[in-house]
Amino acid sequence: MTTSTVAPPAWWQALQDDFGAFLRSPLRDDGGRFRADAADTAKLLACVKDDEPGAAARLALYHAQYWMRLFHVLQQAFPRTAGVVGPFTFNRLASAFLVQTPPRGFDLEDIARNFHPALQGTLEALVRPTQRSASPQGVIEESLSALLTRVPAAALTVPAWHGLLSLDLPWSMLAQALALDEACRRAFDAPATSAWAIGDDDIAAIMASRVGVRMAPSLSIVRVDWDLDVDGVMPPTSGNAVANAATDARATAQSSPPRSRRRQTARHHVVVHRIDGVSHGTVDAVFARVLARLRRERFRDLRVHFEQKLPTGADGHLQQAFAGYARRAAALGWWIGTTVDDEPT
Amino acid sequence: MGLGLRPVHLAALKEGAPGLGFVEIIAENFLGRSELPRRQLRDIAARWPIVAHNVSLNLLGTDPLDTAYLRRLRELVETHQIPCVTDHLCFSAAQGLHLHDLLPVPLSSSLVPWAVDRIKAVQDALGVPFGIENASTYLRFVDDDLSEQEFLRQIVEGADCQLLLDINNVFVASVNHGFDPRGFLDAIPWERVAYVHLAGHLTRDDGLRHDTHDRPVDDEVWALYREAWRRGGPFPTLLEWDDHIPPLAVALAEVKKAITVRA
Repeated sequence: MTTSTVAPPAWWQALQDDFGAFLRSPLRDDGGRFRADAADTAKLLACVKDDEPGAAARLALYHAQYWMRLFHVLQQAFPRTAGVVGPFTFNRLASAFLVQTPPRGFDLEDIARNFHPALQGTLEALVRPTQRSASPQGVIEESLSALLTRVPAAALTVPAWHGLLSLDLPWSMLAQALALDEACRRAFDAPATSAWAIGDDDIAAIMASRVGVRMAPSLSIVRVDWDLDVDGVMPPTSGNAVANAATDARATAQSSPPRSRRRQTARHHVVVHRIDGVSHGTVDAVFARVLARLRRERFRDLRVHFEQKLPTGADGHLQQAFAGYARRAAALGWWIGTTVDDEPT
Repeated sequence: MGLGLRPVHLAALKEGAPGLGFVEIIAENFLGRSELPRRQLRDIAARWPIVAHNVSLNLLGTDPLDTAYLRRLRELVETHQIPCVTDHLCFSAAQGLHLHDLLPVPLSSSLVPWAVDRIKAVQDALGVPFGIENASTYLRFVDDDLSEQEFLRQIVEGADCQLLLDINNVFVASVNHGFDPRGFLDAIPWERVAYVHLAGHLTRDDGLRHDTHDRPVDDEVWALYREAWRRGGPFPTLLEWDDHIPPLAVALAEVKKAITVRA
């Protein structure tokens, strides 16, 4: 790349800095609506031609675009969490995060990557004590999300409206929504895997514990007993939020979260990045346990548990039952091969 | 005829897209950590020529150009033999922080040397022809001493680069700032136009035109497109649709209207 010999005008650098600072200035809560604080615009308005009507409104359009685009990115990355807490509360959490951690790169996905630990820590802090029936770590382990590499939670410095954000929601609901969103986001980042043509010999070797199972690096399993179906809690927002910045801001302020309900039985969601995209399916509890334990153990370590959990009448058909699981896991790209290392991956 | 590639159309594109001549990608969507978009792009690039459109080069910004980003962009260009790369005449970052928008710049003659120098550096880094697009704007600055068309002309000629002329943006800016869009077209150096953009926009209650890309092309924009064709045609034409995106067949039908409009 050629080296520049031209310097930008100093006034231009100052104007850009002011414009950037204006865009990043937090949205102000005013009667439940988001809007820019007029005081922030004075410096920039002095640089703007005043022979066009509504200069402040025009400047505010850029401000709204900045925030709505970033809110949209985070809502798209965490749709279930946003649905559970409601878009207004979610955007406030996003706002607190973005004020502390403004985007530093071109990749919008980075914003979501960095948001997860802050969101988790903050939600934990905001949930009312009466709703904490299970510890966050307990939920994660219960949901088998130990498969996810946990990032230390870091609560946001929540600004003045903190008091409005006490969440009267069960922690288990929030934790499950967040775990499922993060599993999908991580799968998108991870390498894709293809179906594995597993053979009878492979299955026999796994059951004899001569080899371990190599899992897809993107594989996550999340136990969910709240009604968090992919499209059930919050339909995906459409396209580019910048387009509807003004209307989105109003909708954001006025809508309240739909209440989820708890299911009679839990579902175990398996998320993986396959060649044809990020895939999302459910398995029964026994299969979930098999998937989770074979990641770090050999078959001999879970044989007793597996036998105990098989449906009545299937006790004598251990091999047949396991082979069914194995073939499905291989066909769906959840298992990608065997390992002879001491520790399966 | 071209169409901006959007993920919602990937499945339909596999079934074919009669009349589609080329596809424009938002390059940033294929430069991130995940391999999935790049894998999907391979299938598209095998069937249609690809051009790369950017939103993050920060051409008129004062932050240093992102050399790592440019390297990745060049790899993408070389992988898919992309013949042309474009970005907007705007700034999009300041103080090391990305603003993720196409922000307005003063139409000042004192900024022309800076813009020319940056564009030459980008073109040099990418190794393929580079073009700049006129952006939609909602503000003008007290430091403006050039018309937008004169600002554009001085920069494309100084940098010896191409021009991606967005007809919708010309119209939006003309209404928002009160100038004659046909006079704008009269000043365009047509020999430098690589292709033109079309898109839909919103008319707000206060009369401001908002470049939303969320609806069909406005009738007045089609009329301006006809004027552009008379002045500078033939040129490739591409439709952008970014929000409330219709099925592929609807988007293709919209861009094919151009053939009727310019007849």
